[in-house]
Amino acid sequence: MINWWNLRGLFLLLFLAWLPFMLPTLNIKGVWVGGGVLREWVAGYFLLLLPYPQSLEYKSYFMGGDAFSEYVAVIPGLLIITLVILWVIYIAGTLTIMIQNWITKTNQNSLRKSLKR
Amino acid sequence: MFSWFLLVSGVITSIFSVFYVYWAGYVWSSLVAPLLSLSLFVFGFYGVRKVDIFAGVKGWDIEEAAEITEPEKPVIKPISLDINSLDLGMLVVGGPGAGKSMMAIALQEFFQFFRPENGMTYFEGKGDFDIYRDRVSAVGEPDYFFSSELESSDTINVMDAPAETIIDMFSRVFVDSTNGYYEASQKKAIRATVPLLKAFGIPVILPDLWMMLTNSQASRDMIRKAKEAGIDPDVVSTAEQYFKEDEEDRLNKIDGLLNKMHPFVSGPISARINSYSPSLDITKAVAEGKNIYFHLPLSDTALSVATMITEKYGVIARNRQLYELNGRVSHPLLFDDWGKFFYSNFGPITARCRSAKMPINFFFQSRGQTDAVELGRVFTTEILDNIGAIWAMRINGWDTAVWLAEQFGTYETSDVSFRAETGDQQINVREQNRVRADSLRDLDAGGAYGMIFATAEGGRMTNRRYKLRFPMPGRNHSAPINWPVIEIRSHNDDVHGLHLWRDYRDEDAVRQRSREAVAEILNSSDSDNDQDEVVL
Repeated sequence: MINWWNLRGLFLLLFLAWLPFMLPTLNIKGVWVGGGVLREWVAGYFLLLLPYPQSLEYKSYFMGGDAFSEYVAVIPGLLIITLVILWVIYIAGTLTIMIQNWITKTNQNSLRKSLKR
Repeated sequence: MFSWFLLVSGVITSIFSVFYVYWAGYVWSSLVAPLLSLSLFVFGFYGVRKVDIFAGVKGWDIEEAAEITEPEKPVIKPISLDINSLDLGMLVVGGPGAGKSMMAIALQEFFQFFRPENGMTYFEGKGDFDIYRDRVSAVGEPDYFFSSELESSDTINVMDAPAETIIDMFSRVFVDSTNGYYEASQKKAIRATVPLLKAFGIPVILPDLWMMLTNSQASRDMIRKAKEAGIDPDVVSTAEQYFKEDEEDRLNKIDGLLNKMHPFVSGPISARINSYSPSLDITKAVAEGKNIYFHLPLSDTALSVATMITEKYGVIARNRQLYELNGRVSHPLLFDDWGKFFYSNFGPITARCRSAKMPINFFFQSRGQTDAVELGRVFTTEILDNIGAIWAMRINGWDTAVWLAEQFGTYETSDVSFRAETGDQQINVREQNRVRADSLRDLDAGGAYGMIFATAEGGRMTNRRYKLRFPMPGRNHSAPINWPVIEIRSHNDDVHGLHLWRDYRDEDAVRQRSREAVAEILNSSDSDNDQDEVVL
């Protein structure tokens, strides 16, 4: 039988999801790779949630600021991703526990029945 | 777990909403995230918080208590014993000095405080003045006080009941059942006479029955009067047939009956249980919500009186069931130290009382006392099935302790073991007794293990197990220094009744009256009376 304690490792995903977004940005042979691309992608989505005038302000803050401003600006988007991952963990964990425990119980019942004979 | 996820989501959403408000400013969309966050918190907290739907029950508050439904995780907090369960009655078992009587008084104090207009009846089988004093001090003077031993007592009439009930009651109390032949004859005597006496519709007392059975003149006169009064011919002919038997033979057969009846006809208790105009009319007192105190220290006499009174309560319960269709209020009955008073009809009567909202509360010392009521321990099983609560106070005997401990059922406990080399874990799950018999022998006075229902709206119920200490009775009234003094309001000879005992006990007076009656008829000028029998 398993419970959430056995699946505690899954919760690391919540923090691990932030790591790729923390990576620095590199230009390798004219191609931008690293965290900057991801940060821009997330910032683009957050931009859609803001009213138009404020979105321009946010855009200029993200594009025109230093590295720290870029990290701060990406936090709201990362929080949404974290929320989504949290519920994915919940669904996956619940299903795992349910199925795993059903298998264990069935095995135990079979064993009991066979021992009773 | 779902609720915890909701709470974490709430935390994330609230951080997000700070950022959003920072960037978006005060626009309508800024409200979405905080509102979502708030909702997540509310639902999360509601789910995480273990709402005890039974927490708001009204009832008897006990300060020193621990819930032991999960004995390894006792919840120590004040509790309230649900009034709905208290209205089903309870069973309290405890050895001498365990605190049963104090608990009984404390319970009465609660009833008096909770529903002062309902009244209650306290049957006290020990007879100590201490109990009376503490009871008065906590609850107040009872409205009625009846004693099987003290002269100063309210009076009752044991024949103030329907004929069938009296027949059952007297058959149980007075019939000598050691010999089947005599038993049948004695029951026949009761069956032939009681309906006739009751048929007149005027107050009858036990000495009237005695006189009818033993005095041929009285029986002849009663049959004649019954015929004149147009009483049911079946009743009259049954009596007539019975009294046609040879008198000496008839009296021989009912000798055992008369012997058992005699102390109640002319003994010291006679005046208290044979009143044409009793100061305590139990039916009326219950209906009016009075407090009644029965002082019945254990003796053969008390045992018989207790049986008759219990039967009387059976009649009251039946009437409440049949005729009090609306607004029936609870009238608790408390039987303290009553183990020796159980008898064969106690089960059906108490079942009836329970359903008539007269909850029975038993206080006794040993399982053996209930087992003795009926063969096959039917009564023990029956009361356990029908009551709302069971309390085990300090128990002396091992058998009773084991039996009571079993009543609290088992709980699931588990041991975790693992091998140091491999790290393999193993969990052993086993059922264990919730209460150990030994722990029932180590309780302090007033301490108890108990099990009681708690009810909530929508018909939801749960059975709670507690270890607790019942409160000591309060000192709400001044304590008496002596037993109550009760004035005898009227003498039997001066009030309306059948008066067979008064009119026939003195044989010389009866003969004198006969002579006078005969002389009167002889002197009468009416010749039509010549063939008439003389009726006194």
